[in-house]
Amino acid sequence: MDKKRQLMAEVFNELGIDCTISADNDLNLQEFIADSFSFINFICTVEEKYGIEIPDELLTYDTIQSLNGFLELIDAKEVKPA
Amino acid sequence: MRNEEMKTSRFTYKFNQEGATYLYNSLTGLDSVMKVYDKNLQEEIRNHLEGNTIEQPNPILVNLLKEKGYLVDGDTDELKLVESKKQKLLTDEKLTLTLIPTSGCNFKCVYCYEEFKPIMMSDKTIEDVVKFTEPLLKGKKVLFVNWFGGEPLLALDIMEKLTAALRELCRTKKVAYFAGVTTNGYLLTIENFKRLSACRVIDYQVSIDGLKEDHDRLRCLKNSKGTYDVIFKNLKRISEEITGNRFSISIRCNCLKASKEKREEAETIFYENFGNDKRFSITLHAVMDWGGDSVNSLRSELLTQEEEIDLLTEALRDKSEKRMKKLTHLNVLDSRSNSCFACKTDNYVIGADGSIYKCTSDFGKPLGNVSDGRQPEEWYDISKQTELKEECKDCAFYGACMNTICPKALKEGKLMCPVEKDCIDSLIGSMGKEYFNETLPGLYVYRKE
Repeated sequence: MDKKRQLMAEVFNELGIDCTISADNDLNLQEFIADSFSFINFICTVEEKYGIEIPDELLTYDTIQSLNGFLELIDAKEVKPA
Repeated sequence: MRNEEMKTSRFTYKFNQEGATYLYNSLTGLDSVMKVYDKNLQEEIRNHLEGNTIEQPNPILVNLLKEKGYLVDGDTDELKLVESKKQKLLTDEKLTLTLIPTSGCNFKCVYCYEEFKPIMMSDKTIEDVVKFTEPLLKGKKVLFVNWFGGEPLLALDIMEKLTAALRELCRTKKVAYFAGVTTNGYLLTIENFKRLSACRVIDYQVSIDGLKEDHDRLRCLKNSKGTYDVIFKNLKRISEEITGNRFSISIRCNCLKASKEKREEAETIFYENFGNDKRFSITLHAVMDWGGDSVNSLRSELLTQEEEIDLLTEALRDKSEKRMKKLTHLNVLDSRSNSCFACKTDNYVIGADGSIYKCTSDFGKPLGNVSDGRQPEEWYDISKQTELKEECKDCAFYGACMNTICPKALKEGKLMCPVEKDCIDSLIGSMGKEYFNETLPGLYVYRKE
């Protein structure tokens, strides 16, 4: 499993959410992050773990429809190191 | 024509200013604010709200007036809706803890009401706080900690210890964790700011009482040395060196009678330093007598409520370029941010010695101690106060206020209205175009930031 997916597994562990992240599976993260509190908590934890800042304009609930899509977003150039 | 069975909401507030008609509904809150320049639409709105016959109503406008709560079904019991909204607000999915890691302070503010012995929270009390918190998280989605003091940054290591323990608890309970801090700002260096960010502190409140000479007189160190320069430098460095938008800093400016003449100059200084930083906002408040003896020396300088309204009105009407655009006073239009945290059922203030209170300006007899291993005594439960006060019966602002501004005042049999209620025209009129979307030509509707 690559480092980014490993970190995502750690994020979920830290949030106390039970879900399996393997080397290549995709998940609809909205199934695990169902409300606005959980969403902002998730985003803050991702930023802490990855050492990045996600711009506000990318912070819509739709961005977590897919784990793979979200990981691509983290890779995107708009996301800069904190 | 408006549906015969519709009526105008009792919480509708309408006024004209500089060629525009403004609408606000206190029950639906900030989201309801509309600004209308088009004369035909202004006329149609007036007719709708007065229940007059309209030959060809604009269907988009009618829907908007319904959606924003200005037109409601004829049999709607709006007071019942307010009561239901109030109960929901007071018992929401958030647990709020105001934690005092130390009762000690490095300042000797002239108007301070606290009379605690300076102590630090012990490891045993930290453990007890966590044990006390655990059952309170049942059914909650978020734990919000508001660090308070004394000066909490004197006990940053205790804040870190307690944060780690509470976050671990939140992890096991699948509850989100966030925090805010009320600090005098003297120790808010970049290094400490980063430590606080790591503790998930996202909201900061720092007091700067106007110009340097006034601030230094009111908010000095224990040795009487001024504090303005250090606080200002700290905030400036945060603005310049910290990237990211995951925090906000509200500068609270406590005002006296003399502040009226100096407000513009003070605000220009704030604007020149923080005006372009959206993370910073400013809020004006009268220095209040919250008790204690030290405020007596300022008695003749305290603003009356009328003077406070004048000061705020003037600040809101000031359209000069060099004024802070972001005024947290707008929050008052929304009941969620309007209400005092002390009203909430799931809110506790915990002192450095583990004493439990409900309100940070009611540090009388504690309701218990976290070491007791039992629930604290009941304070003043505002959720049980369902009878409408005589003064509120015809108040268009009641939908937002809901008598939740100051439970301590209610407990003492007094009624406290938000000062902004008396300058709503200026408050709403101060909202620039950045707050609105043009929904119809000449009709602007509030948009969330």
